[in-house]
Amino acid sequence: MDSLTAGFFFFGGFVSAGLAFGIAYLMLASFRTIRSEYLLGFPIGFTLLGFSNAFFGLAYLMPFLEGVTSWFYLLLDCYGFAFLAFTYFFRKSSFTSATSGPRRWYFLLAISAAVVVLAVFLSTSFLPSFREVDGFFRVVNLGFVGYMIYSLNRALKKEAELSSVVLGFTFLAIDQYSLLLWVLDRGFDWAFVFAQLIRITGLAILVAFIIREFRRA
Amino acid sequence: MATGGGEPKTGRRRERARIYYDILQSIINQETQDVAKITRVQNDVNLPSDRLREHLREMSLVGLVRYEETLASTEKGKTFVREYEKIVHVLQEFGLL
Repeated sequence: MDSLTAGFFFFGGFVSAGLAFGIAYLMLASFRTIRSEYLLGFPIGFTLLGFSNAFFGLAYLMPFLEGVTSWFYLLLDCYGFAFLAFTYFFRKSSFTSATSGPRRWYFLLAISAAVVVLAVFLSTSFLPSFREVDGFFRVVNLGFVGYMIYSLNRALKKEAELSSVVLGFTFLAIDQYSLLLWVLDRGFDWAFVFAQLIRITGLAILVAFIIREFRRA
Repeated sequence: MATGGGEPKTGRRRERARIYYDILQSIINQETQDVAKITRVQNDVNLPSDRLREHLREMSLVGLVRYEETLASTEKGKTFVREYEKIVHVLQEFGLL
């Protein structure tokens, strides 16, 4: 890989990370005002997506660490989408009426994420081939994002105009689909490049929407 | 899409911020016509008198209302209402409320 391509992916990874951390920060402000436990999944999910993208960028900055950083990228991405999808699940489920429901599930999810990440950090030798599981994780992520878009559309069913949030999440779904295409055909490099661009666009749409709404007089 | 803190009625217990918002909305609405009266606030927000007074004391301590002989909203309280409505609107657009 030439340095220009590596630079593009490094830059793209860190831009995506910055945008995801930005969304997490803004959503945390919402949680601090409306202290419904299930809302905590949103800032946690975007924080994990931020770390995931940062590790993606890091893999191109420090290729000698690629083995570990690629796994962190894959796992944190999946856990990030899991937290976001669980937020939508808890929002409409009976868990919201139970005081400790979402907290307990988020805690279990966070513990499992920490254990898995720690295990990968200690040794990658026990793990299956990265290429074998990459596609599986993309399909799981697509399931999570699909559920989020479905829940969002149900919540916004009275809206006639296209929501920026639906658009942003749809871009994140296309990102995962493009990565799946790339996993299935590694020669299809454009799918990988396209995935980075569409992810940045999706996250940027979400950040722009939140900032615009918060600044509205 | 409804804004203005218009959360759907889900039967859940209201969060403290939501109660403060409802109290302030009632006070501000009354102030557009006359002075705010505690009995009308109590009817609007559907809270027992003792709990309402407890909330008003807390809100007074953080500067959201003036709760002495009379009841009145403050600039900080009005800012809180505006900020709360923005946050609720964003969460509604995310399909989270």
